[in-house]
This record gives sequence, structure tokens and C-alpha cells, in this order.
Amino acid sequence: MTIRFLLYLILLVYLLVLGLIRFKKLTLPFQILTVLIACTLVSEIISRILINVFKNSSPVYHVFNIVNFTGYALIYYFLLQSRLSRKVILLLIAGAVCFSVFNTIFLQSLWSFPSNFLLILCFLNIYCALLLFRQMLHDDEEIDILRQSVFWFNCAVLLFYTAIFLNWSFYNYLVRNKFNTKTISTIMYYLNIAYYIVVGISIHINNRKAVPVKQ
Amino acid sequence: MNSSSGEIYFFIVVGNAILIGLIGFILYFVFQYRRRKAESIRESQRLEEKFRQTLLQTQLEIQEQTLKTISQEIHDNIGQALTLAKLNLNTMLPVVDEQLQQKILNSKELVSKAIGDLRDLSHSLDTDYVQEMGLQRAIEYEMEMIQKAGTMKAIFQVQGSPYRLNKQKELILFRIVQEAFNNIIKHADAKTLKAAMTYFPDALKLEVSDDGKGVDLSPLNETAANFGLGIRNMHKRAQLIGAEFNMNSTLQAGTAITIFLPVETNTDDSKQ
Repeated sequence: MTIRFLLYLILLVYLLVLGLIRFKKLTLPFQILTVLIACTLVSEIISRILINVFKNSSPVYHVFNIVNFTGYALIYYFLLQSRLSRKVILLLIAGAVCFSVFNTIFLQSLWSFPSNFLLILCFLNIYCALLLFRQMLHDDEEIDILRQSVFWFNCAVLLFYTAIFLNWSFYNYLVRNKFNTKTISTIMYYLNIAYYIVVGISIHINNRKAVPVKQ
Repeated sequence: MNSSSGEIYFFIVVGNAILIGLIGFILYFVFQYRRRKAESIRESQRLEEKFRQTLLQTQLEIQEQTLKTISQEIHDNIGQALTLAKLNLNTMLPVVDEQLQQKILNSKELVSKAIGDLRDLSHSLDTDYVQEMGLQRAIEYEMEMIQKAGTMKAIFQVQGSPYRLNKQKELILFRIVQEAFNNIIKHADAKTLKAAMTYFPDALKLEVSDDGKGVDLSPLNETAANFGLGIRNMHKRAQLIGAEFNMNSTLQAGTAITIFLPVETNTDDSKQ
């Protein structure tokens, strides 16, 4: 187990504990986020076990990506107020689950990484983050923007998933051309750590009383 | 540099450009968000102020209507009754008893004085009458009434070339002056009351002062609720017509209020 992986796990455990301590004070989307962090922690541990046993952790991601996708979709479902956006998100959840099954059976087998699905997850999150930014501009929120948990969460999602998307594209290119992919893997690790730090800030400042969310 | 490393550099440059672009977008969003919020706050403050002004305007209209009704009641009912009483007294046959005759004469004088005072009061309450007379004459008239009452010396000064203002503004200014006079009569214990109107080409300055006991303005809201309410009303009324209202007071030296109203010469505040 590398130090950076340990660091990553400690960060996830810290966020999970923080989320659970503040669970009753959190708004519904951030409660879902806490559950999602728990799922991420479990998936990372199982993934490490699979690597040690089978030298391949891809099966975990075939399952976890669906959970991840549904989790983020639900978070944005509760954060976005437009009825149309909400309907689109519900349709996307159904569509994505179907595609995931199709992808695992026909395109990327259980023992290969489900990058197709990950790219869809990136697109959905970037799209929802942009929609949420647009909605925030029209909101009558009195709290300063830098003290709004939704702002930090949204910034983290937008930057992280864009970076992940670019990194995966680059990673595929490097693999195709038989280049060393170590640097890219390291960057992804640190991106994950940076992402969860910002998510931690958003969980820390989120408050049910301060941020009304339509449910 | 071979084609592969060129492609790698291309990927890195494009990737970084996209990420920098996104960071720029987030910064722009924060800037836009704050600008919109500031605008929204300004707009809600403006609406609140407008609502407050409308509310005040309505209150003043109701108040004016009440004063007008009272004025009419005084003129039509009490005035008529007193006039009838005076007529009755006039038509009484001379009586032999001198003491009784003197009492009748005294009663006639008292009734005449009451009729005169009520007429004055009726006029000063009547909105139309005040608007017809004009601000300057109405203040002069009030001063005359105070002088006639004999409790204090009333001095009225006018500087500059007089002109008329919008009727509504004149009425509001007059009610402020009336409130100031009332305060002086009730609370100031003054010997002299001064009022001054200064007509500037682009503004009108109104000053009301006395040489009474003065008032401590700092704890106004806590201790002298009614008096404070009067001052607040004057202040609100001045705000309603866009005038500046200032009040200065020194204990044992008197109080002075100043109202400064900018005049728009090319619109409704027409010169005479």
C-alpha cells in the first residue's frame, strides 16, 4: 500500500466521519454525498483487495460506476429546481443503468475498465454543474457565494470531472502508443485528493437551515 | 521533436487550456454572481423605499382627509351653532338688570372670539384653503394666530424672490412647520418663535427656531416617545418630497429645524 493511497483512504474516512457527525444538519443532496463517499471508500478497499488477488480491480468499477452515477444524478436532481432538468436526470439514470449493463456484456467485459461509462458520468456531471451554476445566478440566496456549500461542491465537480475526462483521453492515447502511464495515474490520484478536499469543505459548511433546497 | 511527442505536448496544452478556461469561468461566475446580488439588493432596497414612500403618502392623504373633515365639521356644525347662539344673544331684548346685561355682552364677545378662533383653526386644518393661500401666506397666518394668542413673540422673515411650489409639496412643508410650531408651543417654554423662508433660485430653505429650553436629541427614541414620533414624522414628510431635514438643539438655548428643498424650476415647481 503506497503512502498516497493511504493518504487518500484517510481523507475518505475523515470525510465520511465528518459527514456522519453532521448528517442531521446536512441538506438531502449532501446526505447523499456522504453515502456516496462511504460507497467510494468501500469500493476503493475492495478494489485494493482485488488487485492483490487477481491483479485487476475492474469488476468493482462496473458496479461502483452505476452507484456513483446514480448518486451524482440524485444530488443534482435535488439541487436543480427546473422541472425539465429533473425529468432529464431521471431519464438519464434509467438510460445509464441500461447502458452500463449493455457496456459490460457487449463492449467492455467485467475484467476491463468501464471507461465508456466513466466518460458518460463525466459528461453528466459537467452538464449538471453548468446547469447548477446557471441556476445559482438567478437564485435569491443571501449568503455570500464563497460561504455556500453548493458553490464549492459544484466547482469541485466541474473541475474534477473535466480533468478526469481529459486525463482518461490522454491515458487512452498513451496506452495506445505504448507510453508510460505512471505520470497520468499519479496526477489522477492527486486530482482525487484535491477533489475530496474541496468536497470536504462543502460538507463542512453545508447547513440545512442556511441553504434551502427544494425537495 | 517527433510526431508522438508533438501530440503529447498538444494534449497537455489543450488540457491545461481547458482547465484554465474553467477556472476563469468560475472566477467570472463569482464576479457575476456578486454583481447580480448587489443589483438585487439595490433593487429590493429601492422597492422597499418606494413602498415606504407610498405608505407614507397614503398616511398623509388619510391624515389630510381627516383634517379636512374636522375643518368642515368645525365650520359647518360648531361654527353654525355658535353663530346661532350669537344671533340669539343679539336678538335678546335689553334687560333692566345691569349685571345681567353685562353678562350678556361678555357672552357675545366670548362667542364672537370662539367663532373667530374656530374659523382660524378651520382654515389652518383645511387642505384646500392652505393650498389656495400658498405656503408663505399659510405660515404667516399661523404665526399671526400664535402672536394673537399672546403666549410668545412670533417673528417671520422672508428672503429672496418668492415663488410657488407644487401644491402637494407646499402642503407637506406646511404640515412640517405646523408640527414644529406645535412642538414649540407644547414643549419649548419659549418666549420667541422665529420662522424664516429663503427663496434661492434652485432651492427653498425653511427655518423654524425658538429660544426655549431645548431638547436632548440623543435619547429621543427611548424617553420622549411622543415628541420623538413628531420629529420622525417631520423627517419622513421631508424625505417624501426629497427635502433635507435637520434639527439642532442646545439645552436652555433653544431648538432650530431647517428644511432644505431643491426646486426643479423647469418642472412642477413653477415660479410665480
